[in-house]
Amino acid sequence: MKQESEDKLNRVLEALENPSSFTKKELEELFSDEDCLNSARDILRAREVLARQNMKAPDVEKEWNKFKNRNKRNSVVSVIAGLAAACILLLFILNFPARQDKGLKVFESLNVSQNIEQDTVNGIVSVVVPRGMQKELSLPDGTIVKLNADSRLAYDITQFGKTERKVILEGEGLFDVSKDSLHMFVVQSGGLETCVLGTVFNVRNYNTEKMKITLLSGSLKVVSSSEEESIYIKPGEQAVLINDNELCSVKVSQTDNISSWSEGAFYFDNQTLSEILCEIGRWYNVNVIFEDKNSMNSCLHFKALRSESLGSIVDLLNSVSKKTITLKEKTLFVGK
Amino acid sequence: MGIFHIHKKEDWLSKEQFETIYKTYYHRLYYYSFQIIKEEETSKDIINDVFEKIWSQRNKLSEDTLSSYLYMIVRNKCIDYLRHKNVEQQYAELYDIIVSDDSEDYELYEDRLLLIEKIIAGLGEPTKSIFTKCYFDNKKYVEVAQEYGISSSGVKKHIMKVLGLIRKECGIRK
Repeated sequence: MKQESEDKLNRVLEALENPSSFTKKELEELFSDEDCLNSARDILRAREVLARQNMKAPDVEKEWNKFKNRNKRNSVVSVIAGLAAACILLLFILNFPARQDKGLKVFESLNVSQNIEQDTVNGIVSVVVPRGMQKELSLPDGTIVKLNADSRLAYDITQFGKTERKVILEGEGLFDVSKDSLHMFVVQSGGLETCVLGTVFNVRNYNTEKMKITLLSGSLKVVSSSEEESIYIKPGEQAVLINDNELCSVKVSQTDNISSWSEGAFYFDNQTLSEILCEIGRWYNVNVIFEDKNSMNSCLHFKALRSESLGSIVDLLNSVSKKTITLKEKTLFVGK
Repeated sequence: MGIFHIHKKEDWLSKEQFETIYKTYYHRLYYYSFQIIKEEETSKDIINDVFEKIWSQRNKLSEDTLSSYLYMIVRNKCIDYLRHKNVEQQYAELYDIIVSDDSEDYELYEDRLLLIEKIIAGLGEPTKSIFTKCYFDNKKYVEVAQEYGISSSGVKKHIMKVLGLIRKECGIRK
């Protein structure tokens, strides 16, 4: 009797971890058993309890303000559901590149997936975050990684932690590395490897700009892949890759804006209009065209929430920018 | 234009009452959503979607059923979210079957969560860490087993021990 209930529980635990190894019918059958159902529910309740204990409490006032000012279009679920329509619209626009010839296109929208894809093939775990989304994940060593929009992270789970803890990154990630003085944590991105034992840092490697690694706490070493160059940086410093293989460190006046993306905000402190609009283009997946390329380098201080609709972001930008920015279909035009 | 522009005077739910409901339930619903998904930003968006729906349907709602209705839409929206993410569809099916959707009494529900909290706090090591790694960090049993140098079924024994304690403390009631 005891053995029988243990077998049942075993199946419940299996189903919780890997439901895809069960058919829908098998799941229904398993959980038609009252004991099985209640055990599974208790585990989920325990998960809720653990979240209450371990997750940062949301700022209800902030969410309430967001809610009051919200437009219907911000909802995640409806954005995902609206994907098909958006793709068709995008195809339509791509086939009629009417007024895009004028001006300089600095960022291009893509016809890409709207799902976060996460899978393991032959021991390689990979996570792909599309434009307009971000994702927090924990690695087997307890390290927390937040991935920004349009980013990919991969690692070999069979090798991870054996001699070192190595991951490969494209795009932008904020790493809060678990302390383990025996196993170096290594982020390989572009031509650089960032090596640490336990610390918080941000790696930003988008093809629209120079690669930057910013240290928020702890200490860190950056090595170029050819191992010809390496530098150590201190908290508040940034390693920048210039001319493809020249590494230098610069002081960052504020580190707040480096990680603000991970808290759902755009934060630009005296950055060029071109950098700002590329980042906005990446989040909303829209083209960016400068009708006059001299406007690209005008600098702005700009702050907004990523949950805003693109329309209200454009309105906000226009209230601080001297250049007029207009949104037409899937393109942001910057006037002369 | 904000979300309240359609507000009319004769609604049973004034904007002020609605704000109170929002602030009372926000935390509870937010953490409840972690039974199903574990993405902070998504949860926040979903909770706001739910309140938007509640506001738009305020004329049809009654005060007595509001609480269970809130939990029910959070549950459904979270599952719906998983369903639209290709890789997690089977989780959507699973949660659709097991996440409770009957109109439970949410005061009793809070009591049960408190009991579970007490049981988890009182667990010895390594049971407590193993349980947390499996269900909070969402690690695979195999991964956790490796970490502790035990077998997967060893990991499951630790989990069953916790389940046994919860069942014993809470009785067999739902």
